[in-house]
Amino acid sequence: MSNRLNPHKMLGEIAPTSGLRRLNRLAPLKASTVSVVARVNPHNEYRARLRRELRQADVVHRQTVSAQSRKPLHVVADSAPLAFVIGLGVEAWAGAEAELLGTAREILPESAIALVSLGKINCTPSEDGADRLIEGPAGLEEHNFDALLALVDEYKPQHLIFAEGGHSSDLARRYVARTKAEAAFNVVQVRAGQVTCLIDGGKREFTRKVPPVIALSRIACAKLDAEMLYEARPLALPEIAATDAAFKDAGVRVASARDLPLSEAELVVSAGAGLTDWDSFHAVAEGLSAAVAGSRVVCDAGSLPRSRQVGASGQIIESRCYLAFGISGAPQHLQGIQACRHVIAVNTDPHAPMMKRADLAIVADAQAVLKEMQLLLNKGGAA
Amino acid sequence: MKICVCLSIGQNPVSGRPRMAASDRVALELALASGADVTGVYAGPKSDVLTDYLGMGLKQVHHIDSARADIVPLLVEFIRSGSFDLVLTGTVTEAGLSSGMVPYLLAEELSLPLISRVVGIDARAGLTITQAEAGGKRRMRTGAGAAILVVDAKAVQPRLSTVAAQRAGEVITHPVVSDLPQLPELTSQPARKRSTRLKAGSGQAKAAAPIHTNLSAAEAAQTILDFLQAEGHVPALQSITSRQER
Repeated sequence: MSNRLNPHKMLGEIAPTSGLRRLNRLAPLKASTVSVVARVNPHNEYRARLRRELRQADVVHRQTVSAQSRKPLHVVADSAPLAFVIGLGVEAWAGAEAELLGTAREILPESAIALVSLGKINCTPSEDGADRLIEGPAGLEEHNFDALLALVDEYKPQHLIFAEGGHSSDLARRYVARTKAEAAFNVVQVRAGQVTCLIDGGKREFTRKVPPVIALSRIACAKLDAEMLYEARPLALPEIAATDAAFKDAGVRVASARDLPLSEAELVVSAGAGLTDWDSFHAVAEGLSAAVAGSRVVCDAGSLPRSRQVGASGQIIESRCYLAFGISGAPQHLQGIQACRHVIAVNTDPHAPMMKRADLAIVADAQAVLKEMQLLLNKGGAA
Repeated sequence: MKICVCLSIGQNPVSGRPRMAASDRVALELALASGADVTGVYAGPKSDVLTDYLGMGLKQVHHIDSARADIVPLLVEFIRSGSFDLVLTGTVTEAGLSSGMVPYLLAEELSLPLISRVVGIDARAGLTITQAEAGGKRRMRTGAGAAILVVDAKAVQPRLSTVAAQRAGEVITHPVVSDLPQLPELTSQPARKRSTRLKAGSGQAKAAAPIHTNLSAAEAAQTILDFLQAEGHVPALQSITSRQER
């Protein structure tokens, strides 16, 4: 029988009063039974195993962290041609900046891609594919245009890539009108060195070589799979000769919930047949600055105007978030909210189709929840 | 106030027949509703659709017969000669290049300020232009002097065209100008139907969200507001975060 702590030593050789006795205080060995069994404290063994496992877990964890930081770094030489990807504070669509960077790498694999961010950055430049990074202040279209002209003058990029939509397409057209640069608008497909643009109001298309200015539609864009890290090296912002806008900014107004068009709203609060407390419904919509909408049943009953109906026979909406109170979710209604990113449903029936579609589903009475939300929002407004 | 509206001929997306361009109708409606003296201008080949624009209540449409020439210099010349306070255009044409460049080129040639995404004009006290911003917000711009406004397609619901008004208005045709710079002909194909590209990680099926069954009304309300805040759908309101509640 071997000693488990030191297998080369036989138990019989150990004097009965040795350290082994200390080790196993709970069951002290009797001098007469020493040669038979050496008991090891099972608790001690358990603790040792636990410590070992924890140590291993720690090592495994550290390995993954270091593996991540050991992602190959993509470095582009300073001599490489530069391409600007223009990101403005408000994205043309959710995730536009990251998708533009990815697509820019696809069209111009040889170039150094610089993310020009006027306003806030809406992506992770080092993971989404930016070799360089230029940050500037947000401003009106006229000011963004001045900043862009100064940047182009300083860094002389060979290509400028814009998103087709919102402020971005406005800036692209201003730039093209001023510089008379060749441009491709409404680009719906890209290959290395080639772009396809829609013309004739979207009925026809033509393919051409990559011009210096490209305005990409959402349909043409895709994000990179993050297999590399990119430098995202900051470049300095040159001095911008700011001109005064001829029409001064007199502030932004938020439309009230009743006026906000459904097609433009980012947050929509919607009512179904399960809703009876209209006062708190409208108060919550107002408190969240959300647009008001309803299902067909509600609009048929005259509780909301027809222009507020969501669904196959009403409007197809693309808001970022949709709060459904007392809507079971008929297929025709779900069609109308297909493009919504998040859906929150409050319904008394846990098996309603709307609950399956929802990202946050709550089984409760809509009236009670609306009352509580109204209370919370009032408190939030008062603070 | 004198307003010039640049008009174009659209095409029905299904039949391809010529019609009033949807975004130009909106621009015309905004001009007519502002109560100003409105003139329409159209450069291009002859078309019967111009009388439909007259039917919306326009007194005069100037037709510059230009065949396939570049219309920008023609429009610049017309706008210069008219001394207009505002020039309104739609967003993009429904036929032709559809690049949406015309208003920007006009602004550059005429050295006028340009405001895009216009949804409202108020000329009662000074000139206030309303601009559409993301999320249904509206930016007010005040100023004076001539400007080019690109009217947003969702600004207003345009009125219908009536026969009586069509008969009351007139189309003034300007003589054909020869030796104009021609636009290059493009070799194009019918557009293919494309679906959005597959995005990284989009192939994974979304796990079904758990259904909360045992929440009190107060907890449910708090959960909803927390969710809205976590996803950035509402601006941070201090006292509705659950940490302060507890």
